[in-house]
Amino acid sequence: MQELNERTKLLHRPVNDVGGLPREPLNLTEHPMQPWEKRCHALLESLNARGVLTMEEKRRGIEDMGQTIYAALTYYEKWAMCAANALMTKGHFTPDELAERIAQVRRRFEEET
Amino acid sequence: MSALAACQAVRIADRRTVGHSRVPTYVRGARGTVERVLREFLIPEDDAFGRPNGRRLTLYRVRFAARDLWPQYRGSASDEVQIEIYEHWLEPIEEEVKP
Repeated sequence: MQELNERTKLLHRPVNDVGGLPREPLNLTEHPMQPWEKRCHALLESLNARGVLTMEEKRRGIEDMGQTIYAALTYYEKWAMCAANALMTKGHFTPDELAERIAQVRRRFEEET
Repeated sequence: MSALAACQAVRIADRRTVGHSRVPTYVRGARGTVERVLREFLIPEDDAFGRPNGRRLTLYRVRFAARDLWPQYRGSASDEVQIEIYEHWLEPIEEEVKP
């Protein structure tokens, strides 16, 4: 492909399109999935199967996070953040409803521990 | 009915996109070979934006010689990359290709 300058790359090259670019070696260490990661995966598969949020919409949402967030979050943190943004965009819940639910879960967690 | 058959030489469209596609930058404009014909699916460019009734096109598995993609590639000359690419990205190249 024609060389893209730094500004056009921001438009035309998603953050995950890194094939062939110089990078640090990949960390291939296996690590067990956390319970919340399994739930996150199951939830997104379920939303995909029901046509609420497709895997391709999720992929786009993750590409759209920007380099800083993309690099900082783990794999399922990206899924969770993307799902929240996409479901709010589609009108399934509002930011204040999500914040209230997160606060409820946090209170429950603190009571239990 | 798919427009291309296995072993067909193809050029990947050298197209810049904004938004979403599943075609990596490093194969745009590259020459590859249809490895196999898969089937029709909703294309990512429509699916990614919540258009379940969008365009459905044939998906192909396309193979590329690693050295065609990366001239400095130091691995085996037979190393290749296979990528699944939709029909609207593939331009047939008219030439005889060995299977």
